[in-house]
Amino acid sequence: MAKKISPTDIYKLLPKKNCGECGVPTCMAFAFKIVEGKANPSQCPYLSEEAKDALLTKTAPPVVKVEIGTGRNKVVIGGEKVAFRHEEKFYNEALFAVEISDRMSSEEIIEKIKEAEEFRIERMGQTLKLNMFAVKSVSGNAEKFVETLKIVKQHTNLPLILCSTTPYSLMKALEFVGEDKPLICPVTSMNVNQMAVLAKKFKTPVAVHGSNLEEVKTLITRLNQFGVNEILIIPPGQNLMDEISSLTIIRRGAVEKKIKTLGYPTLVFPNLIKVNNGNFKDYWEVMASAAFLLRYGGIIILSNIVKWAVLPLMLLRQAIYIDPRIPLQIKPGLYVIGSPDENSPVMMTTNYSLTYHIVSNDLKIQGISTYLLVVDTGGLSVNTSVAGNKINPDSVARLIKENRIEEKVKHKKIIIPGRAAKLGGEIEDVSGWEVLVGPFDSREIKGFLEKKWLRQ
Amino acid sequence: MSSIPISFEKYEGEIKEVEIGATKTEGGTRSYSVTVGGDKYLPLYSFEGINPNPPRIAHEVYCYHAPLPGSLFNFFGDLVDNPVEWSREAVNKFKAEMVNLRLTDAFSIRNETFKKEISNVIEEVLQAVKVPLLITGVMDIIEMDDYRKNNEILTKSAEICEGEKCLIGPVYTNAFQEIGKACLEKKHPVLAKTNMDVNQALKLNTSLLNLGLTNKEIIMDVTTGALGYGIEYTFSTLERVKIRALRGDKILQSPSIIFSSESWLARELQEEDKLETEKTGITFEVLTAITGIMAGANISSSLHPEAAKLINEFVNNFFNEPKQFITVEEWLKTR
Repeated sequence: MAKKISPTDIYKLLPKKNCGECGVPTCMAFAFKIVEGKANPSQCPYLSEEAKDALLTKTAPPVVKVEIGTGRNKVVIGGEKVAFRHEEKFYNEALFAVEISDRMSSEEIIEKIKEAEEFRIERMGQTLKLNMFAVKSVSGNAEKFVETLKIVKQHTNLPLILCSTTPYSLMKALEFVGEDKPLICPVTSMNVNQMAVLAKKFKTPVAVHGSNLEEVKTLITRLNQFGVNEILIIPPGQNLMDEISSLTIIRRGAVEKKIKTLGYPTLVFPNLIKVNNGNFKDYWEVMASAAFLLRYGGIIILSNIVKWAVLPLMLLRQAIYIDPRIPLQIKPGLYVIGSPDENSPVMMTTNYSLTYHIVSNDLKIQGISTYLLVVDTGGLSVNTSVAGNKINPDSVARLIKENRIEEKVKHKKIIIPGRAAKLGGEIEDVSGWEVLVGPFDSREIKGFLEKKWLRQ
Repeated sequence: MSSIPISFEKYEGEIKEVEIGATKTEGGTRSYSVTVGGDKYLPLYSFEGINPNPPRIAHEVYCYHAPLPGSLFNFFGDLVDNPVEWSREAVNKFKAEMVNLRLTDAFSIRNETFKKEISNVIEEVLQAVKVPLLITGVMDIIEMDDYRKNNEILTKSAEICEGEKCLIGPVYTNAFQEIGKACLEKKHPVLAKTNMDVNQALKLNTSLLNLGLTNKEIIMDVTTGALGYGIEYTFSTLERVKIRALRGDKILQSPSIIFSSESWLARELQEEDKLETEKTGITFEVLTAITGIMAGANISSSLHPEAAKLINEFVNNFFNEPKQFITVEEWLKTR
């Protein structure tokens, strides 16, 4: 496992004035914040340049952070610190890029871009979407490549990946879209010097492609000599097993063995898997994408956008990149749904973000007005918190009291989730409120109320 | 320049192998047995070493009250009301290597008629198919009485299946004794279920070991959610349990299981659009299984036969015939 820097290591380099000008009262507290990634050394006004450099080197993530694109649509990849999410968290979400070829007709390109841009899902307060386009030169013709890029640029502002084995084509393309800071690839042993010159000139990140990790390291060393540091690695491998091995060695090599030439994010191509069976081909791309998502794949190039495939991938990405230390949760307390009055029901759910969003949405759809008490379960779902004893009946009673529910309604009944049924007795005992056990599924609340509430 | 690592850790521990299904020579009637576990390395760490047994898949068959979404009811048709025929179909048509007979919810166990009927079904399934069996009871405890129902039906199952080495469970931290003892006596491995907490898993395994079971007779279910509702917990708990066991914690050195079938409960799959929903559901199930397998699960209990087939393909791709990737250069030549 990776050795973490200790706050004492950082503290040694700080001025020890405890002036508080960085926003934190003491230098030691500041050191802790830096270690947690919540403060930046440059917030300290009294650091010497030398100490600042030393601190930045010490605190720099072992996987370099790379930015692609500019302005509002800029994306960030890398900056990772651990190999296992339970050790801390994964920082910058994997990115999905959609493939476009210069052999496609302009109608096809426009259609594909439109489809990709329209694919958006609002979920747990985040917008899940496709992030980039990978434009490849299949024709080998620089003009054709630029022509394609013109169409692409007209229809999207998302960051681009330019793919061609010919540095000349890439140069022509960069003359056109260079200011947008696209990623260019592949850098190989055949073209490394020319690519380095292009990357330097246009200040663009590059992705390296070698037949094994030694070759990749050599290429990176060469790029570094040119002063190119914004790099992605295409993991070498002839099959999924190889690639997963490469990805694992790259991440753990960077994080644990501090191998600088492996300390870069990755670019993966699940679309390169060779499958004969037409029916399974789509599935294979999704399966390979999932494997990459779970094992350090950075930018993932997809060949097609089909809802049944992209939706689950998006959900998996969201899950893997959730900070395991702070589950997606909302603030516990009283939430008013619709316009409840003194006869409206009082309900309870947990503060897991997904649970709350599902329940409140279902209530709205069913046109129910209610006082919804959201109890603190540390961001766990009803099911999980019941199993793990994370719903404390005392805190339910406290919520009722603190929010003065007794003054808001003229009954003393609270509806709890069906899955929390076994807590009913205890909640009744400590709160003095009558507990009604609601349905398992919040879509059935309306039916439940009709039977159990309105008839009372 | 430092060289490429070929190993990151030397593991002191290894996962014990668990055998499911007893053949004639072992006193059962299964035509073969399936061995899971035996992991010496983290999953898919082929540069460190290859684990002896690839993950295996069990096809689920529901003994009444299958909690299936509409699209699956359409797919399984009349089989939903006929667990014996469903088992037969799972093995003959869908090539199931193992069948997980799910006695489903506590409602089915609510009265004597049902209990008798479930017992009959188990006996008939044992006759109808000869693959190793998993028998799972109440997976979702809602009220305290559910523990009692679970104990009752699984203790009974252990008796009916004596000698067959079925994987029987779940047992829980506060309800493990009756079933544990029955399994010990009738020689079945036990499915130990805890929720996303390594300490809970330790506690339950310790209890089972104290009963006299060994790690070779325990399969752990430490999962909590499928894709779309908590798979991140499932992933990390599986990973933590596996790492801890490999580093030498003997108590946790049993294989683990993932229920990819849980995927069908995801909100996103409750929509109307039938065909797309089915395909999306298959993908949900496959990705849930892949997540489990890559975090260390040794068995996937799966529902849709198409999903099971794909999960099997995924596993085979690592252990038997890997599909080649075309090179980036070739990709740049294809439209």
